[in-house]
Amino acid sequence: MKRTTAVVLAGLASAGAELLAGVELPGAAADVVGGPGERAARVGEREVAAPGGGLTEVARMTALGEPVYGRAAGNDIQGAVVPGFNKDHQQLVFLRLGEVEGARAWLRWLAPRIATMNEVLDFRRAFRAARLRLGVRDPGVSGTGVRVPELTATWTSVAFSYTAIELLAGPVEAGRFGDRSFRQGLAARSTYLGDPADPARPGHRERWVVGGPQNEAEMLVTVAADAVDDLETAVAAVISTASEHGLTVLLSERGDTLPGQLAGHEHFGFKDGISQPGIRGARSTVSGDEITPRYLAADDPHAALFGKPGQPLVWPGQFLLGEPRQDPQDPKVPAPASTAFPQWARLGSYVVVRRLAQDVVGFWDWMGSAAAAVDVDPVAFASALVGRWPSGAPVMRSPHHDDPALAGDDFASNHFLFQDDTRPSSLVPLAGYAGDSHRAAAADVLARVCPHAAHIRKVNPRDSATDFGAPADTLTRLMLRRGIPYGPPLVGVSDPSPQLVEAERGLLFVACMSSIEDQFEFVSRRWVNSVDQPNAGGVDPVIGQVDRAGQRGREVVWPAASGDVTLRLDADFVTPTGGGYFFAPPISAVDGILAGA
Amino acid sequence: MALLTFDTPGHVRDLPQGAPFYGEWHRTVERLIGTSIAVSGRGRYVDPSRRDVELVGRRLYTWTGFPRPLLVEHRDDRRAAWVAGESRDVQIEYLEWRVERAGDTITRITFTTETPEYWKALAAADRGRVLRLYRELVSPEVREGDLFPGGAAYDPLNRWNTTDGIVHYVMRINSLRDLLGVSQESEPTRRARDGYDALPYKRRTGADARLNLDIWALSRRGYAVSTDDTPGLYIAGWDDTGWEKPDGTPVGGYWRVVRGRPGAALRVVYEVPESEGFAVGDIRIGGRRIEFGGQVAEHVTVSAHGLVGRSPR
Repeated sequence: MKRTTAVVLAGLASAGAELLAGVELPGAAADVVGGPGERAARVGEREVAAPGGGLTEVARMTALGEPVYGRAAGNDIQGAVVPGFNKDHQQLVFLRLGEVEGARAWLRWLAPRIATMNEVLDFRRAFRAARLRLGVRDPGVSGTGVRVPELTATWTSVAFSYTAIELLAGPVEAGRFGDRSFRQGLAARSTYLGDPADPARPGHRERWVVGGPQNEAEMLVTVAADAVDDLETAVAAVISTASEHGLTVLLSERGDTLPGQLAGHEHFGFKDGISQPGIRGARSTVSGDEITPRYLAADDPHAALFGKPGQPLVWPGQFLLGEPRQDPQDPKVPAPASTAFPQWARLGSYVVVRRLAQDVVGFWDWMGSAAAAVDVDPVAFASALVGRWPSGAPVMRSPHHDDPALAGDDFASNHFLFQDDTRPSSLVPLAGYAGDSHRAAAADVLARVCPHAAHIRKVNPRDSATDFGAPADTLTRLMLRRGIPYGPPLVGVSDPSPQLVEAERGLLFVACMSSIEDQFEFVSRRWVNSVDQPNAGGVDPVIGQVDRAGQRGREVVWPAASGDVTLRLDADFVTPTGGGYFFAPPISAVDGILAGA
Repeated sequence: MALLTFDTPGHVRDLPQGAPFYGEWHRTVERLIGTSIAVSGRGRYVDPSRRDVELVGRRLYTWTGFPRPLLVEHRDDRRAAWVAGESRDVQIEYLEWRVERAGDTITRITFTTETPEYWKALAAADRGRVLRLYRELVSPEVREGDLFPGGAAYDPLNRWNTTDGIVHYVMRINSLRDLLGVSQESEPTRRARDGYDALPYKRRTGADARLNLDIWALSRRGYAVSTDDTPGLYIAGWDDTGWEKPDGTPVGGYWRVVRGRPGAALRVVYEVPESEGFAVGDIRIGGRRIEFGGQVAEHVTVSAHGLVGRSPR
């Protein structure tokens, strides 16, 4: 490890954000928490229109024309998909089915334990409100270190591979899934994503710990909890009952948020997961009961496009099969739902999992030497190529230094455009919030502040046009990211032991979407790994990977004051080591068709 | 920077250096560029052959070769998009291609970004040269009467550029005129202050969105925008990484730039050398066999080159 790398890694211990406190969110309409018993009683009662129209349904829309997911639909959608677990501890259990009837019996055990959208959403609202009021990251822990029961939860989700659906529901039903990538599986698409083509190289699919041609998982169970002991108890129950029913565990891996100030950061040291699309739709027609809270005032010019500053609203069909989708030309109107799936799969979501090992030392060694070559501080250099400082503060709003207060301001840290000056937002009244007084982002149309290759500019070009359309099209590419780090952290550690340096660490990348090909694969291959798309300027230096007949070298363009400098990367900082393409069905299908009902 | 003299696309030298044709070509391009047309905001579209531009940067406008409208139309059935995309009538992203097969297997895909304007100008200057180029590029069987029916003017829709071959664009709105026209359009509302304000964006092609939105954004910042030398449409590159031979190993470099140069190609052929023992149609992209030219066109980047600068009013 280079000395500059050691200094940077130790220094990142203080890369946390200064959280808002004393903010009272507007009260959302009270709704019923949907527990398992209630869900069972209400399956079949749907309150959104279905293309087939076979069920007793009442089509309802909000005043904004967004779909309403009533109690039954909210109890059918998995909470891991909407709104997402976002827990500090998660275990991903990759399974292979044994005898089909045994697996079906186990699904009947599992189904009532799957967290619903309703229960996770209710929890999330209470948790978020407490967090902003108290100014602490985890209000589920009291001042004395004891967990607060009502702000503590343990949740479970389940997803299936195409092979599993073929086995459990039959080939005819499986064949109704139109997403060809899902049907092929991740291993078959591996080289398309830039993974190594040489079997001798780390990252080749034959070497994956799970998800390779010889060890593809058929089911993925995710357990998420605030407390480690709760997690372990739930995981033990999942694994023991699965074994009793003939299932085999291929891999059971724990992910944890990084400790202390680095909570929410990935292993390179940067805050992750700040920018997520806001899902359109509501649980009732009562104002304030939207799935994604609306904080922009009606007089804000972008009020119809964003939930809070910088959080675009996306039609739910981008993540839930059978729902109104994003129109590629006009973000305010819905496009027709997909019908390329079996009817029972409606309200389900494709789930992409990638186990990505991260070479933290290699990343910072390269950043240090490349930064020295262009005479820039290594953290500033790496932050520009990420697009955010380690705290999460965007370089577009703070070009020259990290800004923990900006990073901690939920209403400011994601509020920026790339091409034009970003205007202040007009917000609904938020008691206790002093307003966004941070420096506004200035237009960077020539990408001198945030390079075109920067990670966040690659994966979400925001207001820019791309190779594939206007900003409206970009909204069709967004995913719900649900990842969590695994392995012991190196950032924030002074004088780490050789064993700690060598330990494996990385990201369990998890993302939900309605088209693997048009969302995850499109962004990965066509943007992240491309030198000239969505804008010419090199590959994403953080996660981009290219395999040109075994050659892994790639280029990044750095906008130096004296002109563009092309920098060469020969090492991979991220290496795929496993994963899979899965489908998280509506809960009614878990103990329904998939369980042989 | 000095005023530009518009050279031929890709600096091709189909006629001897110094031939009057090159001056004629410059004037052809000039006629297509409306001088100093307002784009939107404070910026201006300028004719760099007439107005000096203080250069701030060069801009490579890039987009994808496969027609975006087909992928939007067939959102849930990509194969249907590939099937539809085989017709040059719908190859609307300034990239046209022709597929040749042996039986059901693709053996060669020829891509072009050449404009009808250029070939018409060349034909007006030297018919014999056009005939020789057609024979070289398409088939030795091309006869003068095929290209100049009845001895009249050059026919851009002749059989060797449509049913039996490919030389330059035939799709209705693929042309240098259309490229330059899109480049000079104003933002319709004239009120947009950012890319979101410019929505909904009605046009469906990737090329239009790329050129319009990028130029509008530059223009709002007060930049002068114009075409760089040489004006034209180019194949900027292709991405065949991860493509696999029938044995699962990575493909070789089977691309051949026939006109233009790598990075700014006008005519490119994708064809597996005979020594490899398999054909294009045996290659797999992400585990899927190449059955249609569009599967390859999706990985071809098309580009136009622009100048960004400051121009005195």
